[in-house]
Amino acid sequence: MYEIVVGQLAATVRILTPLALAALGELIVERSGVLNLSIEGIMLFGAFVAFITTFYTDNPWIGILSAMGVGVLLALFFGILTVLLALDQIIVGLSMNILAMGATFFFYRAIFGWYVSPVPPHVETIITEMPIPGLSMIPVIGPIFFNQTVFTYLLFILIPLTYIVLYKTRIGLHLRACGEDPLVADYLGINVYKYRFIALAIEGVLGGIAGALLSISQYNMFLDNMTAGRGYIAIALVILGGWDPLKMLLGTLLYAFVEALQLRIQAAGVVVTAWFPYQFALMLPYLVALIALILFGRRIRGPKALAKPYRRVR
Amino acid sequence: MVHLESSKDYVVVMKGITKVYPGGVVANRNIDFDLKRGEIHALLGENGAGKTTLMKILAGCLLPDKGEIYVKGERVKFRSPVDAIKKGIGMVHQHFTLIPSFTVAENIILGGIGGKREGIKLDMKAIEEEIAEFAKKHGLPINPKARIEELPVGLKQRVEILRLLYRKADILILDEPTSVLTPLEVKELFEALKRMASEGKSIVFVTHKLDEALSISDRITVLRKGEVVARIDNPKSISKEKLAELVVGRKIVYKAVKTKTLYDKTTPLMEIRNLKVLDDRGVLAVRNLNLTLYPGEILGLAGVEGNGQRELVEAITGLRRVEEGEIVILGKKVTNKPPKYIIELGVSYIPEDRTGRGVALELSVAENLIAKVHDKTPFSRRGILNLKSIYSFAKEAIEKFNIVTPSVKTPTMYLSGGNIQRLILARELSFKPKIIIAEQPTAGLDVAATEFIHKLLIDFRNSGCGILLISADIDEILKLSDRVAVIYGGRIVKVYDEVSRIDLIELSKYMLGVKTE
Ligand SMILES: Nc1ncnc2c1ncn2[C@@H]1O[C@H](COP(=O)(O)OP(=O)(O)OP(=O)(O)O)[C@@H](O)[C@H]1O
Ligand SMILES: [Mg+2]
Repeated sequence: MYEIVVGQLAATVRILTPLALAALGELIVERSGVLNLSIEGIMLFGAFVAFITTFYTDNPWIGILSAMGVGVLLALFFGILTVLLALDQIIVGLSMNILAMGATFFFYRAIFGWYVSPVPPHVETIITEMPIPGLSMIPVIGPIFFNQTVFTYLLFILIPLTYIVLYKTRIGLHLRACGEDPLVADYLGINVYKYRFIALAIEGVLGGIAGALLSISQYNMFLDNMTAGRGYIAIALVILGGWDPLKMLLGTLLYAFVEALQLRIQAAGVVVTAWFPYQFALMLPYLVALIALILFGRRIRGPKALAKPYRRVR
Repeated sequence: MVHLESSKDYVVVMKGITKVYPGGVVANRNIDFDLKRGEIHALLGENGAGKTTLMKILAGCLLPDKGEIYVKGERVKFRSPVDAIKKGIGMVHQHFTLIPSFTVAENIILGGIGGKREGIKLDMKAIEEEIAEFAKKHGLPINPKARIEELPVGLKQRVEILRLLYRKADILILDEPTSVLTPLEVKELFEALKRMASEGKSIVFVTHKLDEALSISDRITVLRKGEVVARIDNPKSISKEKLAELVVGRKIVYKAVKTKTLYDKTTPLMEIRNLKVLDDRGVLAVRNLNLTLYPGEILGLAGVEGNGQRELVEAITGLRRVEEGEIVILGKKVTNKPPKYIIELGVSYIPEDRTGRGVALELSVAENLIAKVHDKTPFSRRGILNLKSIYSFAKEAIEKFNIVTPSVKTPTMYLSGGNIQRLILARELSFKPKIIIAEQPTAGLDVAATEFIHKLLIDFRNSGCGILLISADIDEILKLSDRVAVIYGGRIVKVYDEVSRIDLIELSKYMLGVKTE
């Protein structure tokens, strides 16, 4: 029993990590007033690029770095279209996602051939757990929290850090001002463009890592559309958390728990009854997110200027 | 006028300012304007005269297409409001530039210029103390921890002024600061302005209220259609009538004739019984309210802002749920019916929140004009819009209601505040309403427009319409109403059947809740 519970919780944290990293990036961007749906595409591209580079260099760290780079590029591209040129954020985001899906599908085949063998290419060296000496030996807590990849530790530093920056510093105040009313922020001398672009760059880095973790840490391979809507889930989690990093983490925890459970159900091959096939389990995490949004989503108030293009009139 | 720009007495000299908006509206044409140290200078003009545009140029929010600006003897070219504030120029905009969900202190330090604490870390406690101190020192006390959205307008404006002072502005521009204030708040504001001027600050006071310009300013500049038409160096020497003529460019001819008592109490148009309505926070805002409106009367609803007026109006127009009680219009129960049903009964609504509720800013003038009847002939047939009849109707309405707009297809957001109000009136009054709910119908409007609207309302009353007039302007209520109801704490505490007999002191007491029946 101990094994099962700890295993389930450790898996929860493992699944949570990429999702929460992406959601954190999205949260920062949304606080600046930009709704970046292309986080899905950024993750997918991150996963793809990380896989390819790791496949050819055998160095997962180069994989991570290149995923970060491609994430930043995509986020800045999104920024040029929506922040600089003030195009519709929803439309640009969705288009970029479709593009990412098509492009990764194409390049994967261009590189590995059109007829993918029954055993898809794998990466040998991957980002693995980095147990923290001492701490990882603590019963229960140890294996759950301190026997994870370095990015989980990074996440648990970034979440409180973001919280502090958002609410306790001038930078955070100004960032939130951009999200509430860019015109007012602009009038008061806050460079709205700068804040939005920096936020996007941060999201690019985090989203790239999040995608890379899927391909070169969790699955050892790249699959078509392997993010499977996790970018959108990240956006839902930002909303569910009321744009607050701590609450967002709680929501992500719930989602990741259900997803871990779902994987277990699948892996164990448990067919609970005839009307509970594993496909139903696959649906569970999304269902939980939806129900949570319906229950709590209505009372939440987001940044006022979210998704509204801002054009400076001079 | 030789070397004004290098003179010590003139803190601002603007020469030959021209501004053309994208879309081709010439908002300012070759304007000269100057401001002396320590004076209060009124900038007067009708809606759309270009007052806001000129001041936004001075405050660095807009770039002029032509012209020179000198500040304290130095030629300047502002590229942003920050450049302007560095030269000591700050502006309180017509629409506040505060962030509602932030606190007073956060709003004041936002942008981080002029404060003591420049560091990255926010020590809110120290900042709040500093600001409370600062506010008291300037005679404008405020609670720095309060959230802006919880403050009444008067205090919001105070925060705006404090922010300018905190940023060390010594040239203050106030764009129509009084149009949202109660008489008491206006008095306080004037005192503060006079005190600041005597301390050497220079103030531009944008308004279209003649009395205010005459009473507070040291000099007056009058704009009309983007040009300076008069400079008055001694406001004491000019009569109000003369000034009105300068502003409008002609004698104001509207003279509404109110026929004697028209209404008869046998057939009410609208009856409200024991109404209970909640506000946004879920607290009872309207408690057991009873009110009857008769055909052929203007019923003035007097009251201090926030006593349930908003919720009452929203309940009548179907925008807010009624908890208890009922509303009967023309014999039909309309409680909790959808707005469309109520509109089709002939209820017109002139909302206070013009840009939020009155018009869709992105839509064109023509589209806004037919918004409530877009599904009726001749504007559409079998679900397809008939653009020809829409545009010809819009052209007529623009003509009739004097809406200044480049074309019927111009997005409404490019219209000046006064013209947006005219557009709303045109829409609400063009289709033979039986009941008109007029919420602050003339707030922010110039003399001519106000007269125009008053005449319209009286004409409708004379033709048998019932009008519920909600206004913070007591003079307006007394001028127009046949009867006056006083609302306090979500209840009607007094109804005066004869306006001429109203004792103002007693009325104020009812409004403030000191006296109840
Ligand atoms: N952003 C804009 N784009 C295009 N035209 C505009 C814009 N802002 C204002 N205008 C036009 O410029 C003219 C002057 O407008 P402005 O706001 O300066 O007038 P105002 O004197 O302040 O009027 P009000 O008393 O109604 O506030 C108006 O005709 C208006 O329609
Ligand atoms: Mg104006």
